[in-house]
Amino acid sequence: MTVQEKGCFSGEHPADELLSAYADGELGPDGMAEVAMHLRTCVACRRRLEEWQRLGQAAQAAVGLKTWPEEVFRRELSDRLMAEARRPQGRLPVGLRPRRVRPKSAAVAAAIMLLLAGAGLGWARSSYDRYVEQEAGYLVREHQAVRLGVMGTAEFATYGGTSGAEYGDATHDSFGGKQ
Amino acid sequence: MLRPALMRVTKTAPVLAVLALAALVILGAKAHAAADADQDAFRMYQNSFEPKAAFSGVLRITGRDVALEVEVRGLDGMSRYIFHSGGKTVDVLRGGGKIIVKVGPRNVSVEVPSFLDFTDTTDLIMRNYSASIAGRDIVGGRPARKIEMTPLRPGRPDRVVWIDEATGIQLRRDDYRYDGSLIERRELVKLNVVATPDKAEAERWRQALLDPDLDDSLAARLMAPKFHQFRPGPPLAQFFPSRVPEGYVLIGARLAGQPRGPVRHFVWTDGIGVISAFVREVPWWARRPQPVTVRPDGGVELESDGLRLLLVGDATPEELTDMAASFLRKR
Repeated sequence: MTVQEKGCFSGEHPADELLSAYADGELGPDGMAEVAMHLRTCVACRRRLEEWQRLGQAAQAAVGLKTWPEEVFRRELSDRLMAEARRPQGRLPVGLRPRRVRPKSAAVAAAIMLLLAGAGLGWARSSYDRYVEQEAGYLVREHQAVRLGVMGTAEFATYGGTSGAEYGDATHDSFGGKQ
Repeated sequence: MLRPALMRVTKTAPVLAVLALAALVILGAKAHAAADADQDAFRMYQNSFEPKAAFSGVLRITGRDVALEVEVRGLDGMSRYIFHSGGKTVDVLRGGGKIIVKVGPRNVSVEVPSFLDFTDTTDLIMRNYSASIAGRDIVGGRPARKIEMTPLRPGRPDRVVWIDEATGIQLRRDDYRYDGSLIERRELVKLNVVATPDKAEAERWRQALLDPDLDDSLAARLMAPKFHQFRPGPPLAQFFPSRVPEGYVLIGARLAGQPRGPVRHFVWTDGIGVISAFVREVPWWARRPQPVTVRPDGGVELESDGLRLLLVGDATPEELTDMAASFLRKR
């Protein structure tokens, strides 16, 4: 960028835009030399530049950003990329690095899962066994009911989805149709 | 030497033949008389279920785990049993080979004679038991004939029945296991024989039996005497034993709804003895094959091929074990 592109001196002093470009290193070698020569002799422009630089640093500190001149930024970026390229494959910065699942912890997790599944199955089996054991007693009573010949009546209380309440309970003195 | 001996034989032969013939006649007559006595005993037994006399009383049923009292009334060959089950009044009317069961105010079942009561199994009893009139006794202050039914095969129960001489009413009936322990006793107490039957009441009962006016067809849910009736329904036939104790026939099958899946229930009888087999399919995660174990009540348990079996009833543990081992999953 040249002094002409950024605007020339307004009178004896460089325009604000030109001084800003100087501060950011955006001028070409001639422009930089020209503005630097002026600053050596002009106290007012030096103060103006210092003031901008101070404000710029304060702004950077306020927003936490680092603003670099383009070339500096490119150099910095290039350096970082090179550093990344030299880093072992797949390795990410510590903050971004995912937690690695180590074989040992995977085995522990699998063992815990197996233990839990086994315990669950064991519990279900023992629960089933207990149920079947209790059921056996009930079934033996059903056999006795069959032997007694009252199975048909016992059925209503235990099977068929028909609740006894549906039939109500009434004293009826005789057969001979519904009452 | 030979001639006198020959002469002696020819002289004694007719005598021996006559004696042998007489012995045969006597034995035959005895056998015939015994068969007649058997027939008489069986007839008396069968008739005791449908006595002509009008009566009322209480049938007390007791056994190892049973204690039940049933109000009973008899009228012109029909019987009526009233008892309470599950807080409901159950009323059973039986006559002419039919049975109606009323629970509360509704008629719910009909014509399941061989299941609800084994009175129609007389033929079966005659095939598997011998009957004899074993003398006279006094039961509840009334003279009674004592009839003993003895199994033709070991391991089967004995039945002793006392029948009122005057009315033909069954006063008492005892069933004993093969080891002599009592299975069940039915005793008619507080018997009151009615001199003049209520004809109008008899007619009402008869009409009820002829036209049961069913409220629903719960009969289908009950045990049916014919196994094939269940073929279109639940897959009961998928599991079935290939061997049953000799003399037993299948009389009932049902799918009992249980909280952890259905249990198939089969019932066999030899007329007096009853065997139940309960079959449960075990889920894969609960399978634990176990050999046959004999229960304290004489029943057997077994788990094999994903089936859990429980067999109880009137047969030896060896017979039940053999039956359980023949339960095959039909694929």
